[in-house]
Amino acid sequence: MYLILDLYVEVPSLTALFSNFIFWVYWITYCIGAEIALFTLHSVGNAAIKDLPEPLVVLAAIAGTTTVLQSLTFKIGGRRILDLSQHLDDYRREVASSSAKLIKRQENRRVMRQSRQILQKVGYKEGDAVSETRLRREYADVMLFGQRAAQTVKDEIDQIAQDCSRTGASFGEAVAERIARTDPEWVRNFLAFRSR
Amino acid sequence: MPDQIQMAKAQAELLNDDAAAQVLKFVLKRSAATGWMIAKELGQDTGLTIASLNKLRGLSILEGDGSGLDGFYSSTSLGYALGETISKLF
Repeated sequence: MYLILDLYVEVPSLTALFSNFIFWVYWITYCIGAEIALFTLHSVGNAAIKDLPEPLVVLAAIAGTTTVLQSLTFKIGGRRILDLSQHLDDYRREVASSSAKLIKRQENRRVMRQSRQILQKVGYKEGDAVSETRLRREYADVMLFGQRAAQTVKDEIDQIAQDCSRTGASFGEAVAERIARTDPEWVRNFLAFRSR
Repeated sequence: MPDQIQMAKAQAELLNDDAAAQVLKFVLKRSAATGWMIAKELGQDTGLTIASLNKLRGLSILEGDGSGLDGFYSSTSLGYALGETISKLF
């Protein structure tokens, strides 16, 4: 639970974390540490520990494991001979980085899904001037941000139209995809609230 | 895993490039973002966003599944290590 909370701050997707093999290696490492700590606490035979409720002993084992693993450094003559905390930090970043790659895949799927929904919402039909104008208007709504001029946005959409007529790709899909890639929150709001 | 020299070089580059540092912070916040998302959210000129993305990719701080503004970008482990530093600096 602690590991999930710790990583969730940087990788806010449980699906990405749980489908990441190296997350489970990281998790198993901590579990083994916590099991050893729990076994040690039970085998000490101290009366004070024996009287404690089991959940509290487990919590102490987890806290102890985390503290030891995150700070274990062994120095001789000022030189670090063993620095487990550094290795664990590096591994933790590797978990975050590879989970972010999985989020990229999820985001690509989100773009495809939202593109289809945008086209449905504006009632887009290939070659239909009315629905194309509607789509262009939504594009301008999303893409006019910062210091961008209306002409720049118009040029962009004309460029998309040119590229599509050259390659035979769908103009509607290309525009809707650009919108979904630019502002997912705007799309959610558009799909949920705006009526056409 | 990032080595110390690579880390120091990347850190020095980011200290002198506020725009690139902001881009990295945004990508770390979202885990994955397109160039368009970054430009819009940060209110940046798109040319500046592309330049920052290219620089961050060149330094192995970000990796992308495409190029330019349409591609999705995520942070490498070096980026996550730098994120811990730049959050203290900016």
